[in-house]
Amino acid sequence: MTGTRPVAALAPLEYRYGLDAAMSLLAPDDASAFQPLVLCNVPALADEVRQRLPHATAPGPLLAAPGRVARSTEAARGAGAVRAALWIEPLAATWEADLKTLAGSVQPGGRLVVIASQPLALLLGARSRRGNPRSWGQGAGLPAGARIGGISVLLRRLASAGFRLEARYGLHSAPAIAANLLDRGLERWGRPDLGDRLHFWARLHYCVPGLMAGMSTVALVVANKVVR
Amino acid sequence: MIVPASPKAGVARRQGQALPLASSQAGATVAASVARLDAWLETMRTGAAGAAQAEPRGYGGPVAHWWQQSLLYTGAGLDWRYEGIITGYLHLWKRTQDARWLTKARRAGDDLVSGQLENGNFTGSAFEINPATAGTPHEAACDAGLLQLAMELRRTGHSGWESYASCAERNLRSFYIGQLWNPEDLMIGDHPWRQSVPVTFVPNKAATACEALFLMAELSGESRWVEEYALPTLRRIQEHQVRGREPAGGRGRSSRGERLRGAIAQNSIGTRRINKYFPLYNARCIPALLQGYRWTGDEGYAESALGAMEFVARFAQADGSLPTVVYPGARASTSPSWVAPLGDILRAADELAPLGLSADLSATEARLLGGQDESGGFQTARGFADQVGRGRTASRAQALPDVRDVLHVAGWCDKAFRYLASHAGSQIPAGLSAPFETDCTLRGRTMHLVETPDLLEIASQGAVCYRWVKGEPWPQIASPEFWLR
Repeated sequence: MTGTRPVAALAPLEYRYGLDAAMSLLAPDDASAFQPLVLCNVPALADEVRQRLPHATAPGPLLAAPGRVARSTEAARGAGAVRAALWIEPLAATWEADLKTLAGSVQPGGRLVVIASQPLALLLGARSRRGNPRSWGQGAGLPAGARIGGISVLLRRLASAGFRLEARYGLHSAPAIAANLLDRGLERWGRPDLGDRLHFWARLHYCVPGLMAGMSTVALVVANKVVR
Repeated sequence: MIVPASPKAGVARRQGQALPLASSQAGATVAASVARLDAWLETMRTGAAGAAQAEPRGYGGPVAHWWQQSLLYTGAGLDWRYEGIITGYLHLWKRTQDARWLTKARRAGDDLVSGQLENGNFTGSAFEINPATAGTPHEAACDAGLLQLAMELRRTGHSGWESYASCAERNLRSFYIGQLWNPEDLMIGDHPWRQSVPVTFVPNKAATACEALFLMAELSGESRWVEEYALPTLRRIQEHQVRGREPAGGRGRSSRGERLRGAIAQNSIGTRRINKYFPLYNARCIPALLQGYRWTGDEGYAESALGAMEFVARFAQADGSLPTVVYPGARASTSPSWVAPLGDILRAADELAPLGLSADLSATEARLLGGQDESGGFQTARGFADQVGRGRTASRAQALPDVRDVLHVAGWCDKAFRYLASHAGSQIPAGLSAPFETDCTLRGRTMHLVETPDLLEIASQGAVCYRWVKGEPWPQIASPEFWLR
């Protein structure tokens, strides 16, 4: 059901930010037909997906998160079965096979949104080396995008799999991180008024497009399946 | 010493009385405003009634807030909007004896009952953080609404009040007492206390919980809700109040420190006090402090309540606006300056009138009433675009309101609704939500916003950049500007 994840146990903001954006990026004109194929490799994000896609248990080409796409699923069998797909945290060990399945599942003209950790994510929170990124990926390996150059490789392979890149965004950008650090410092130094202004500045620069996207913790990639 | 208000004391007026201006005319004006706001609230209903709901039904729409936004999730939010909606409809019912208002109050209560999870929490209860559950003070505000509904139904001999009472009790027991009550520090914290290190305490949120606890005690006849939980929590709130000069950490001169007398600090994290003072949240502490005064007869609670409102009134400007936050040194930020939320400040002033509050907030009242648009919804604020400071924006964009200013938000409009409903005359005319449009700006881009009963659409340079079909949990179109949190 929508809105069932406790505030005290929410996923890091950048993933929620990406998931919220994906809801509109993938939305069809007819909301009742909104059944994207979902592939989520991070248990910590699975409940976030479920509370945004409450029909996840309904029959059809929707794959309940988490878990890799099984080759025997209806989605995988039915080439071109879905108009939209959401791929959360491709993993280094499995992303090529997953991409092949996704490429076979999304119909021409359909849309794929990818949410992937980037190298900067390994410095922060649950995804850090101290926080053991393997557990973030449920032991299946490091996030593919967290390797140096990982997102670039992924983008190239998306193109060769028949997807045209529409847009790339970085979520929780380096400037926003820096501003938030300074904001806390200003608060401690007795200027919470200036700190708050920096906090709001950081919010405005939380999401960055294009080349700057690499300098952020999470990538949001929007691609459309090419009509041949 | 607290001096009960005399009939001539300032602008004192008891809750439920008509506005102090030419009373019949004012009552009619307010009644018309309430009718239009009711019509707008109807357009914000989302989710169909029925079994096996995957999405909660209730009042939806995007949210603009000081802390962050939720412009993308537009489904129902079972949060503090229900406090004002239920109570507002109960006011109209009591004033008019028209059963349709009671029916609407019950329908709102039914939203909460059907949206309650097995663990007692409500779905989508986190307002600007939605989608999420276990939001504070939101679930306590829902409880307060449910309990007032149950008490009114019981008082008037209607059946079915028990389901609303038990829904609230379940939430209070499992969430507020079971998780948020901190038995070591004797207070209702802001996080499950076993998981919260350091402990976080937010006075205004705790005050909302206290309001619900007082109501629970009144309904059940069990004083322990108050004696064991509410009163110790109220004492914590009082510990966050500026009693004399500005507290340690402030660098203002004493005259500035005096300006903060009575202000209640926003929160504390462990032993660290966050010395920011929000007039709106100070006002939201007042009803609970007054309940403490009425329960115990301890004038300290009433003095705290009066002190908090005197702090708020001290910062009121001639145009009725109030700062969103006042920092140490009495530095005030008016970016943004609330409009619809002013209802909660005016409501708190109403409650203090019998105790002799002499502040004149008529300009604030006029500012609130001036914030209503053709749709019937009330604007949220002025000045969101300047939160970071005046930037190098184009002059036209600079003059325009921010999208978040003109957004009509159910969880803010409920505050206007509750206040105005308590002042409406006994005749409420038919209301209509008409289309509303305005130029506005977001992040330096000039935009045009159109709201109809069915749709909220925002375009820039001829291209739609945001389209929400009312009733849907997500907008069909949302350009990256609207991903803003």
